[in-house]
Amino acid sequence: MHETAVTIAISVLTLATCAASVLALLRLRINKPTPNTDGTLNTLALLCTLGTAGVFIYRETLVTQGWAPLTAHVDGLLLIATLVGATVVYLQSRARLPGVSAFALPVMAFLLLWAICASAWTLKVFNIASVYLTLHLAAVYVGSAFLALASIAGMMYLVAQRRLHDKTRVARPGRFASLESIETFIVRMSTVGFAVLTLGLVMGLVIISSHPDHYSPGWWLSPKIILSTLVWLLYALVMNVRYTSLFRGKRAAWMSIAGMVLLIATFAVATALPMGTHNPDTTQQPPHPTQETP
Amino acid sequence: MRVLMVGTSHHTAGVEFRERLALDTEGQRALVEHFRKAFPRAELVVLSTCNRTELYIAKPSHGPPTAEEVRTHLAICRGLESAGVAAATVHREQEQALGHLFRVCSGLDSMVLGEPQIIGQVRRAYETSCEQQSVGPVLHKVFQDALAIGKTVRSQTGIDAGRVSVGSIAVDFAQQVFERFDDKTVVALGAGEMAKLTLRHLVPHKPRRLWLCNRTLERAQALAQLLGITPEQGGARPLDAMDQLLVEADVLITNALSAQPIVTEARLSPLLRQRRGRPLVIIDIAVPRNVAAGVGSLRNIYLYNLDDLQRVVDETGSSRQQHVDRAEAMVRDAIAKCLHQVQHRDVGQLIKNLRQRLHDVGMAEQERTLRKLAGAPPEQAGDLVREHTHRVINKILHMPISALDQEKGDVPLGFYAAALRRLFDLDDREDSQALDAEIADTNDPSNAHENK
Repeated sequence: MHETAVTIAISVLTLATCAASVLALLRLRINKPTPNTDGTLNTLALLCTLGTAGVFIYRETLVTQGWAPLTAHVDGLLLIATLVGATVVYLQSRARLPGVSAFALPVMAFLLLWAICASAWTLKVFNIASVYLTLHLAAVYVGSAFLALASIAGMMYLVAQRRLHDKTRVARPGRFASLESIETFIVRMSTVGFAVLTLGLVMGLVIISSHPDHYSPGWWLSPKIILSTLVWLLYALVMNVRYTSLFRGKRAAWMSIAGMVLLIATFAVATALPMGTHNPDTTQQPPHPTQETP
Repeated sequence: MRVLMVGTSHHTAGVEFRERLALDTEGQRALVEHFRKAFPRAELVVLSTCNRTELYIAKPSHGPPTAEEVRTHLAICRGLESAGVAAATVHREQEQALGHLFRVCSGLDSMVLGEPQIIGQVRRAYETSCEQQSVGPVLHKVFQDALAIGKTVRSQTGIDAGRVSVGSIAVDFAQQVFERFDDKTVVALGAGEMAKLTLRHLVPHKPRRLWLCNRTLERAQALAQLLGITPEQGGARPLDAMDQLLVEADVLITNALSAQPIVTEARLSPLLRQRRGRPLVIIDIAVPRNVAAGVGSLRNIYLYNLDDLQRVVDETGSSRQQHVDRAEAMVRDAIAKCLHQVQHRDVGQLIKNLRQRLHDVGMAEQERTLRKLAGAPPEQAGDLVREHTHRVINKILHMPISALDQEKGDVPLGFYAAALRRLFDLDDREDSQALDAEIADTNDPSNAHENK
């Protein structure tokens, strides 16, 4: 019953976020956005974020019958969506990065849509066996949230730069933040995301080294590990673009987007392959309260 | 005399063509010199700014030059095709020509509505033409009135309040790339008026370094002093240091007088590596352009020229319609007043010429009659005086009566007849009413065909 309620709630939130995304995109097309448009958009984004956070907390308290965060992939997606939404609300309220909602809200809607799938059809419950696994999951999901924000800023950078080169819509109303601000945001988000992701990967290595018998000898050649390493390397480069002459500007933006695509691929691999279920030895672990018993 | 304007502006031609027609001081002088040789009876003022190249001419009513002759002359002086010049220029006559000049002076025709620079540019153009003695009484009157209305409009309306200037838009462009300027280097190429105005908008943002680069170092130093730039903040640099400055610059403002682009792809491309991928915003407010168009396609280079600024002005829109309406009304009144005075002065000259001609006729006949009287007996004196009167009247009336007989297509006969009746008070009441009806009939365009 709880799972159904969660799926319905996420579906409603997805629709609301889609509506907010459409409004944010329309706002970019309007020459002179009115305060009413901005107010509606801010309120809608806030409600979507609070709703997502509410569903996340609901899952961690009621569904799992006790505080057990990140018990399934859907929790991680809800956490990322919440963090992205909260960042959008913060940036909009402070007018720090004008135009970011048009890029962040569709990403949030995509994450919620993914969360519906993860909740309704591909639900695989994690077997939290140790504090290392908790740390690993938390770090990977929080890191992913920051990297998602970096890629959102990357998309924004590309559009803003295109506008500047095309010399269209350069007047003050409806324009984006400066390229320097967007690039700073990309670098900051990449740096934080990289640091947190590093922690997550280290925790993953600790888990693997502590259970060597659970993994085949060539585990480091698995797609998940390779993709994770690639993402890690890519963001290591993105956070240092200001010190290079080759990767500044548009290339940094493309790299942040490519990193996000690789990260999504990593999640897909982790969900699809047995190696990446975070449940290496399910036969020896007690069943999760929400896990279906055969 | 008739006033004629032939020229091009940002309304009629893009920057590519404007820069080909633009004239520096020497070019203006040469044009005036050639023009005076070709049309010695015409008056001329040449106004050439970054947004317009316009020739204001006062010429005899039925004398040269025509608009086409002016266009051809301009094309020859600039080494351009006459057809190209004809396509990109407009001409205005009399009231429209005055109206155009008055609107230009008032800032109503400017790219940035109400901008104050244009009034100084018109004054300089007028003074330059005065120095070359190409300005006569008509253009003196017209330009003095135009400058006066320009001042009045600005002081009595709010047209220049809260305006978006080229300088402020340039800063706005830079702010779309850079968040802050206190860690940026700004380089200005050229130390002209527009560069000064743009830098005045940039200086409050406290750039880390501000370099002024100019052919004449003294001018750059004077501008640096005027802007209050301390040696720690920057200063003047010679044109030889341009390559080094292109490496250092984050914002480049170009406003140098140069027929050829100073910053080209070939010059900038090798320097990009030294710039380490840092973005460079180039605001090219010079006409002819100082930066080749291809530079804008280089990586992390953002190039804007005057046409781009115009687009922003259009996008920004104007919230000053009330001021514009008021200014337009003031300009209309001033045009009517000036035109009346010019025409009045024209009539005064006409009367003077008429008097002179009649006096010449009278004097010639007087001499002839006196000669005859000297050798004639006293009883013939009466006949000679009568003959004298008859000859004078015939000579005076010969030309107008011939003109009435040889009716030309351009002016209807009724017009001359009405003028004669009115000028010599030949109307009786009945005739007058019939005449008024005839004039009304003649002036009615719907009856023009029938009249013919």
